[in-house]
Amino acid sequence: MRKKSNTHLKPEWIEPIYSSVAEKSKDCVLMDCTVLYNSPRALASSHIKVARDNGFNFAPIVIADGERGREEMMIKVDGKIFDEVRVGGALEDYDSLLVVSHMTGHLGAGYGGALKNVGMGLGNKAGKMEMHKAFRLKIRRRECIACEKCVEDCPVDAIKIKSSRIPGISESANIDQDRCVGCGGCVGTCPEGAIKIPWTAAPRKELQRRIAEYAKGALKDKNALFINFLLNITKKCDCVNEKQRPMTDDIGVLISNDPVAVDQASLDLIGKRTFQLRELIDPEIQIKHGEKIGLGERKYELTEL
Amino acid sequence: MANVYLWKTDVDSIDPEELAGKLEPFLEDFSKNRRIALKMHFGEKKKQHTPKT
Repeated sequence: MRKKSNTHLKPEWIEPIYSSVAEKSKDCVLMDCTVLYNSPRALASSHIKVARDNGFNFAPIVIADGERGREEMMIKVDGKIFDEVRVGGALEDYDSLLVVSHMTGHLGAGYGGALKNVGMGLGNKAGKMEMHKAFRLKIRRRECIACEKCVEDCPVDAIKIKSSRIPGISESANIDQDRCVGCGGCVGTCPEGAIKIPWTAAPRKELQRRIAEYAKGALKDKNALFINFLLNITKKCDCVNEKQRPMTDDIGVLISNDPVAVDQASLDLIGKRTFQLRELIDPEIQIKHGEKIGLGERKYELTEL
Repeated sequence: MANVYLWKTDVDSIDPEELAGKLEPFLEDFSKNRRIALKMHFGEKKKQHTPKT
């Protein structure tokens, strides 16, 4: 068994790829958007600092949705859920997307690969909120100690401490479901583990379908290429600030110009059951929905380089 | 049917220059005269370890 390690892609793998692309292109930048939950990556300036601290010092970095994640470009997708999606505004300045993804498991979306990197990753804050709306978090009041950590952590002020009608409990946290965006930040913040994500199939299926529609929007009219790293494949995604042990052996690097095919091939090689050990979610939902809305095709021919 | 290409490697033996070489034929056509955003995830802030005093 391998030792635990930090899981994001290593900058020394990305630098030669960047150099090659930068040499041939008119312009090339590294890009991401702000995140929804409580993290230094919630603001563009501190997100860039995290990237620099993690070794991404060799290229300009653009956080496409601006300092507070409000800059956006609306893109028509005519999807099954969304008519249009909200992606980081700076995406408009680029005609091509080179999508470099680390394949991992993901508690909400089943897995994280090219579709999630583009769909969730390029949605601005409002866009990410729309995608996460699939979840409605629950508080177990008997376990809540009303410490207010979740109140302080909530990015949209959806949690308040209120008096309780439960015998023996004077007060507990309450979630305003209309305000909650389902980012799940409070789940990790609660010291008692009292906030639960309802891991039923329906919201997670819905989240995956939303991610695929956002991916369609971000990729619309773009020249695009997808590189999936099937190395150090961990149960949780790279947003998790902890060292993780790989779930399975390394496989290699996949490349394709089809985001649906590259993720399908990744899951086939890893074995989709690898990501279903504890959660009974089908990680292929985002791929199937991606194909349904014309983002790519699940049938592929695999060629070894 | 889509085409997907696989370079078999592992974390311990991956050579960044070899990786770039494997990708070069794909990057050549893709990159020419384009304005490119390389979308990726830079990882989270590393946990700070405070030494015990």
